[in-house]
Amino acid sequence: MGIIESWKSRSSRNDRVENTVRSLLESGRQTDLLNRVSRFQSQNRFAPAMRLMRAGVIRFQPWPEGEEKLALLEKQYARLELATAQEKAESEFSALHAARLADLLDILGDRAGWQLWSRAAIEEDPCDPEGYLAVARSHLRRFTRNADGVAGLGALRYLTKACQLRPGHGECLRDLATLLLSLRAPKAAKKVLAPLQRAAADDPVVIALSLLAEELPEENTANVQELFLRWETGVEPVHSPAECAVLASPSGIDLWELSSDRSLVAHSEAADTGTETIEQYSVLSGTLHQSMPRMGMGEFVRFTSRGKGGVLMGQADDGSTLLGHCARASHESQMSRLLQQTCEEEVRR
Amino acid sequence: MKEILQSLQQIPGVVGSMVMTGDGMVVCSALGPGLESETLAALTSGTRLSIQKAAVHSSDGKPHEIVLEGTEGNLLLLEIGDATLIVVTHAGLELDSGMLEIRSVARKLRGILEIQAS
Repeated sequence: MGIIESWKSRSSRNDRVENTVRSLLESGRQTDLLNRVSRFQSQNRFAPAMRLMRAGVIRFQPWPEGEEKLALLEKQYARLELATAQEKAESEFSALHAARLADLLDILGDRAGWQLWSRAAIEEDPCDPEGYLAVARSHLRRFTRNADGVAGLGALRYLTKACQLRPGHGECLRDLATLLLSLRAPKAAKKVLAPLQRAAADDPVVIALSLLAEELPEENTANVQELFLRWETGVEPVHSPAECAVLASPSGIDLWELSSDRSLVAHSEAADTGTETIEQYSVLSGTLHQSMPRMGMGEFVRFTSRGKGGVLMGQADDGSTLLGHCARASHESQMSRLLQQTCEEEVRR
Repeated sequence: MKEILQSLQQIPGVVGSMVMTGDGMVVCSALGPGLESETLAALTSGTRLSIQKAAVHSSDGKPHEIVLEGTEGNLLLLEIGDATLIVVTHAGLELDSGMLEIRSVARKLRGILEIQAS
């Protein structure tokens, strides 16, 4: 068979596979999908069984029965593969082998083993994305299964690193798209999925992710931290600078006040109220209130950021946040007093 | 680097410290009990990023020093070249006097990182 005939036959086979998978991912076909997965499983074909099951879990979320089946399948596969992976990691040590072993250990619940081997993979070759991917995948599992926001941030951090090291890495892109869709960000996910749709159009996970991305309403922000805040709090801030109250401030110091739902409620007369500025301050306010308790620092009280071009400061005020900015470092203590004073006036009001 | 971080714990009120790369990867840590480096890195990295974006947007440039105060503890973030030194302290620590010593340690670490980079 010539190259063209071979390509044509492969292409039509791929089309058939894609159509079969697509039909199994149509809504209401969970039982058919489970039956197909069980058939693969009975033939000891774990790789296609897991791919299809993962696709189903993405497509039909929330699907507890599917998630349970996927977890069982993954564990069964990990037990079968563990001995070989261990031998490979010890005899032909490489970042890839160490990362694969770390991944299997994580699936089997061996956190210490996962940590040891994923760290070994990163240390063996810090420029190889596999070690970072093993860490990211573990975080992603905890994020999706336990709705653990810190794990979500961890997954994002390690996936970003892995994608930077090897742009176009299929598994990184799939996991990143999964994370973005969990955060209800189909617009961003579609960008990540585009190269996968060209390179692996018949991959069940890619099909499921693409279908989900088409169904979800598009997000109105490109800020991933804002997406995390929306996912965690279920609140989307609304900014209407024209309707805001005015805060008194001396020349050279700008003030903004953000409510507990991160919306702009007041600002000083000369303060910048451009969309980008307000979104960044809104994210900053939300991040501070969310992160400080989880870092074990208790409730957020205040922050000071000193840069070459000025000082940015923030103070908590009964759930809301007061932010101040001055371009001169010498204005820092005056701004600090002003924030304190404005907060006290708010309390009195 | 670990020794330098451990020396920070001699400063009254300092609970622990760690060094993190610009993209939030832990380089070295000497944290006290109850503090987990990966969790701290994930959260600090996100917080630092949102402060940095806001500061850069306000024409302040990349912040060289960030102080985060909470009801139960403080976090000090000092830029040391391409990395960040994170120091965890008790709440209510006299930040002015402690900061002098911490800044001096940050300078030492910056020197080490510069030598390693060259």
